[in-house]
Amino acid sequence: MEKIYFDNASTTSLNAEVLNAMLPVMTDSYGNSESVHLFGREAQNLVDSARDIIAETINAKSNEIYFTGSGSEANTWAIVGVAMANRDKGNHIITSKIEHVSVLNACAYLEKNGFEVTYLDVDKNGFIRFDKLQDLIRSETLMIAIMGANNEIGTIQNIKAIARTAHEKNIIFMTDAVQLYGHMEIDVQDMEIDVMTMSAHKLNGPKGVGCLYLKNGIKIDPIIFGGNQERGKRGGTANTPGIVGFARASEIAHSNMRIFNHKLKSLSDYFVAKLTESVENIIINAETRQKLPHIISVTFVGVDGESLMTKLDMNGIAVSMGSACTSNSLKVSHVISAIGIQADNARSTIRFSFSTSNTFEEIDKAIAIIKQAVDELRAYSSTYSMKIRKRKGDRNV
Amino acid sequence: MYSNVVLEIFNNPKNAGRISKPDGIADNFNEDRTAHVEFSLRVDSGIIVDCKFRAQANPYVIAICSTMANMVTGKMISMLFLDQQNIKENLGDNSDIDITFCIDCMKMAIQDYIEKFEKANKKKNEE
Repeated sequence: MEKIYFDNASTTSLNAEVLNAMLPVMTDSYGNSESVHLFGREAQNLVDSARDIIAETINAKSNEIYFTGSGSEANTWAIVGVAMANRDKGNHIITSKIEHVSVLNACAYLEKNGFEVTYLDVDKNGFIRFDKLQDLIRSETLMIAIMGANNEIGTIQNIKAIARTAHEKNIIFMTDAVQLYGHMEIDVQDMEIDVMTMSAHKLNGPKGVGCLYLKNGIKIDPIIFGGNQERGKRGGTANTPGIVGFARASEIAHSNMRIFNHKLKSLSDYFVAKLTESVENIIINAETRQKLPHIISVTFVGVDGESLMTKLDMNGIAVSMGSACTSNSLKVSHVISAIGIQADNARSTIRFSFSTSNTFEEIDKAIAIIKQAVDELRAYSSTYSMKIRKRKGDRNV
Repeated sequence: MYSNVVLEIFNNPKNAGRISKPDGIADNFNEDRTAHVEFSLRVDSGIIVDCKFRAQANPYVIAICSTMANMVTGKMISMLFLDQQNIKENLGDNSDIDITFCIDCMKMAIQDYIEKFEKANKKKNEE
């Protein structure tokens, strides 16, 4: 059975060049970057070079980059660490309803510890209700945290405008750029970003390494205690091979960004055109031009998404329902609910996310399998005929 | 992840579809309206001679519906006993997913049959 991977927003394959950069670090430059001897200094030099490379990609200073163990750790640290260190400024945080669970759960933790969090609504395309943001700001608001690009529907927020609004009121602006980084040029100075998170494995880098950008002057408390690593702010021995791999993956992603994005857009456009042609009664969510080129969210009317995902999986095709949904449950994605899709259709939504390794032939093969699976599930769907009548009725109105 | 028994039934569900002109039929959502099921029945002399299901639900619920349709076929309505544990044991997978809405749906389909039966009897008696 041929395996087809359309779940690149979850994680990507490791680029061979990245692996080649990492291998000698594992075998030869294995020193602890905090050790003072020559092995340690060698590792420290590698970490410093990686820090320089990543800083350059976002127009930051090297000493504003902190390596972490994952994007989720970076998000948790950014939210909890910044809130705790800046408690004297206030206890109110504004975020959105479509943030990654690591941001939402960090906010929930703060709520249990004396902070207040407001969750901003989004429109049907997943853009935050910018008109409401101004009204939600209070004198106690210390941070606004809005993700750069959504992991389930791909919508890219107007980061600069949100950051400017925050700064007009002297509020810290944080953005989760885990999905955005490597797909769009980010200039933290021009976009006025104070705190930002990134992750290596979303851009063909290794798993287990993330990164926090913290503008000089912004206070943060550690959440992982240890020695003097990451200038005393994040304990734990540096993952030198991972960090080197992250830097190499960043270089590749940034120097090829236009070509990669063009290929991804071509794949996505081809997929949507073919799917729309082959399978009737589907809805493409977040149809906006301001989105990641590789994420396509599709609602298959009258079909349970998890059942469809399972059938595709049995045929070698890997897709996803979104990060919040676990298998073997009847839960609905918080993102899909937030963009206004009713509960009975929210479970019908599947995320397809492509990489530059995917091919048009894979899309052709996958669409034939998707069509067959959807036909099978709709043949005994208890809601399909009813929903189709309703859709037709709505169109006639 | 789903067990092999669930995946096998999900991939080849028995009794999927809808009985035309059923003697009893009902449909039901779960509490969150994230899953929907329907059972249709053919009943002869108080015995369920055929039962089919339709569903928009996850593989586990589909496997449960298939199992339930199989379990009730050939049974006398008055002798039916349906509870979560019993049904899950019949399927061979004791997931913690609440299937009360499936059981309620089957009960509603039987109730629909009883009401139709009583109505038809009443009409016959009046004639």
